[in-house]
Amino acid sequence: MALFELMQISKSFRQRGAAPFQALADVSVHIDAGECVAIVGESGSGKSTLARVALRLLDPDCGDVLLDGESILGMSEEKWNRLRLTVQPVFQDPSSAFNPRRTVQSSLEQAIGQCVPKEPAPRERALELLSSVELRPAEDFLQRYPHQLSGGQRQRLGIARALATRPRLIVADEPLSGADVSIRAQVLNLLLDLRERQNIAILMITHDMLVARALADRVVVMHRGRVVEQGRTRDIMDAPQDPYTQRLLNAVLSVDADI
Amino acid sequence: MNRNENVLEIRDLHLVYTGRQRVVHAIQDATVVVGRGEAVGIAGESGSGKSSLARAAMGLLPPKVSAIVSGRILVEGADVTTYTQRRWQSLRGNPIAIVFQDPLSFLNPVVRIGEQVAESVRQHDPGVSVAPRVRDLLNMVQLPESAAQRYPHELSGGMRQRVMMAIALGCRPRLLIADEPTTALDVTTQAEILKLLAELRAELDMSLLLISHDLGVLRSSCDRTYIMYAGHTIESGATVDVLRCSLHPYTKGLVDASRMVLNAQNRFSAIGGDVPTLSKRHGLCPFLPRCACSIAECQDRMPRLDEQAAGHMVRCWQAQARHPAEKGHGAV
Repeated sequence: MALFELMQISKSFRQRGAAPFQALADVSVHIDAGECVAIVGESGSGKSTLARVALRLLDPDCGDVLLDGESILGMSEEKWNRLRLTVQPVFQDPSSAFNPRRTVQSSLEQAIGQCVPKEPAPRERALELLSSVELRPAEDFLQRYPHQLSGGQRQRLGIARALATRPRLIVADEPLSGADVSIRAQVLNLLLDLRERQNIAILMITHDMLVARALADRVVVMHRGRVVEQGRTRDIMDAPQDPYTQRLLNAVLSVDADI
Repeated sequence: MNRNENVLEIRDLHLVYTGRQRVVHAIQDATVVVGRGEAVGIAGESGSGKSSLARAAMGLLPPKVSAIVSGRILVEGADVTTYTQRRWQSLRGNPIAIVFQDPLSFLNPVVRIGEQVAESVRQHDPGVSVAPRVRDLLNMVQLPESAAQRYPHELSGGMRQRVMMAIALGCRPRLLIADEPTTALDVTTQAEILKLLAELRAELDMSLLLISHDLGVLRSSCDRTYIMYAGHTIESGATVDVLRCSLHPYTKGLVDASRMVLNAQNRFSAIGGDVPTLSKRHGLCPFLPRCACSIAECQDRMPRLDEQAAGHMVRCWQAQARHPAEKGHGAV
């Protein structure tokens, strides 16, 4: 059984004075434990809508979302509040994802408290989380505010907070877009570490084919709300079948192509 | 005007922003030259000073809080370093025009596209009949004529960027500065815009200064490339040389990180450490704290930009020590 399954998800949005906009049409994606699946596509392809459905931040019109085979859409708010700790988001813009008036320690301890309400040593756990995302020396970061961190440090803090609840799946919506290349490599390495050491599965939403190639076991290509192609990363990259996938791959500008 | 003259020369520029509580030395020592008809790229990460450089070249630095401490800016041979806003006005649009990353914050949301393009035509092409010229310009950037009747919010990101380009071209610039013009766009749209820029440059015999954090973009579009780090131009040369035979350790790190290929440890090559503060002017190489191959000289004084091979400049003691023969200091 898959760890997480999005089954035949459809979602449309009403538009004033126009026909409803179909953001997702019959989209199915599954993720096994410890697996990394990348959803790639351009703006408007529906990939962020899919991420919101996966996090139960948005109800689909039809279809179902299964965690360990159990529907998360039908379950009570109470039960989901417990289970959602195992499915954690990492957002694109880490500066808007943190309360600017809380210190790093306070933000992390809040997340830790959600998982273990009576955690005996929240400060130690916060330090451990900071070290695990390579914000070292961790003590130096505890009393800082989000604005006192660099972009790369803030994104690593975002990942630390996601890890606070010991999740089994991280849903990362464009965690690297807008980041400089050296930061991008740091964050990618961190995600590779997490998979190796903690066997955390990752659902990575990205518009960047290079990121998908770098990290994912499988790739799902979306276009206008539909899955146009999915398969093993190498197969998709080396032998794309769908013309849209081919177009996406051709548009990638690498540093190495012939000048 | 001399045909062989450089359109833009920025030499040894040192630029400071002064806030209420702090000073930022955004550009510390930068030299960028754009020749006639050339496509030149500037690459660097956030905070490296590349956008400040673009603004300095347009006289768009915020008044009062910014000051050029030293260095010179020359536009078509004329020293414009100390120009007043009024005199800058005569250079903006023609000979230099600029397009920004975010067209929405540039375009007027309540004015139709056609009128916004017409405004630029009236300003810079007095006497020309406006309507046909607007049609030509929209045509040039491959927008349908119907786009003239639309408002900015009705267009896609790629179409808005084309409108920006039409407005800039309406001024008949000899140098177009494009500051991260495709950063907010999808890859397929990015490819279209870059292709269009290249076509226009050839057709109009225009120079291009393309600013991007993406080395792939510069590789596809620029004859020469400058790499910036912490306000310094640290390497420059033919794009192919800079990217394939990088001399500066930072450039090498940047190129490796852009490749996104796993190394022997099954990890991506990253540049360790963080960018340095710009609150002071660096006396030593700004990359020194992150550099894995520093030598004794690095601890002593700031390296100068030095030519290592034809047209390939680098600001690095270690690279300069490695290739002394080419500089005529005797064989290694």
